[in-house]
Amino acid sequence: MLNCRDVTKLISESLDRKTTFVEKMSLWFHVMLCGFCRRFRNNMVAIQKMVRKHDINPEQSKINSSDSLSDEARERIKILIERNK
Amino acid sequence: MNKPTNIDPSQWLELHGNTLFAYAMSVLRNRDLAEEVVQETFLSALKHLDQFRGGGAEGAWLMGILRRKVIDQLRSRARQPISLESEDSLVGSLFRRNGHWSNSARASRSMKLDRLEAEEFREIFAKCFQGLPKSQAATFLLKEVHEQSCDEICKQLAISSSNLYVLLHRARLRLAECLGVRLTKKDA
Repeated sequence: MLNCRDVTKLISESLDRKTTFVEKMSLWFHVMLCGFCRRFRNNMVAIQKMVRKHDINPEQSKINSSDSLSDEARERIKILIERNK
Repeated sequence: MNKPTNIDPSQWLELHGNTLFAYAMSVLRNRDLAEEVVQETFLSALKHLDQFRGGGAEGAWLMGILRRKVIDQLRSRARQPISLESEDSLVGSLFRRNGHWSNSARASRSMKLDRLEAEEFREIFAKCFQGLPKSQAATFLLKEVHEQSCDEICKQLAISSSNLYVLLHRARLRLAECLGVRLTKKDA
């Protein structure tokens, strides 16, 4: 019998690869009985849907933050560009 | 050979420097490495100016080069063995020794993601994503955001498919946990 940790692994893998018939059955059986794993599965599917539907890119939300090149790097790169132009 | 007339490398740093850096930083999480990658990107672009066909957006072209440099960087990091043997401690705390959910994990409530506004989700998700360990973040990004196939990701990061599944599993457990906590706080 699979425990919950194994089941969450299988739920995760079912998003990444084709699962076998036996895997599908044991997943279905466990999720039917276990509310916590059912919740995990629903959350996983919901996260994937939200990311795709709204074109979420966690990288882009950081662009307006304090992440800019340091003055030293800026100087160094400027010189390199002028030299190699 | 004619150089495209609409390209001016001396403007690159001003126009694209911070955008490129922010991208590199968000994936690599290391200022020195990110700055190095941006520098390499500009140098490589200068060397291959003839490959840039005018008309296309210069920024997109530079971003394409940067992405490849970032992936190279991730790959060289992945070659330094990703410590899979060591259990991810946060993920470990979600389960009891026998593999059943721990009490704290049981106590969290289910997420009503469909009721969330896109902007709200974007903000919370970005925060949770920033909390992922680097190797997990890299795999989740390539798989779910860039929607690359597992084969491609394994090749790029030079890891086996079973390692990829482990990293994605951990990333998802962490994201679910983090989103759960933040959403519960918001409701309270």
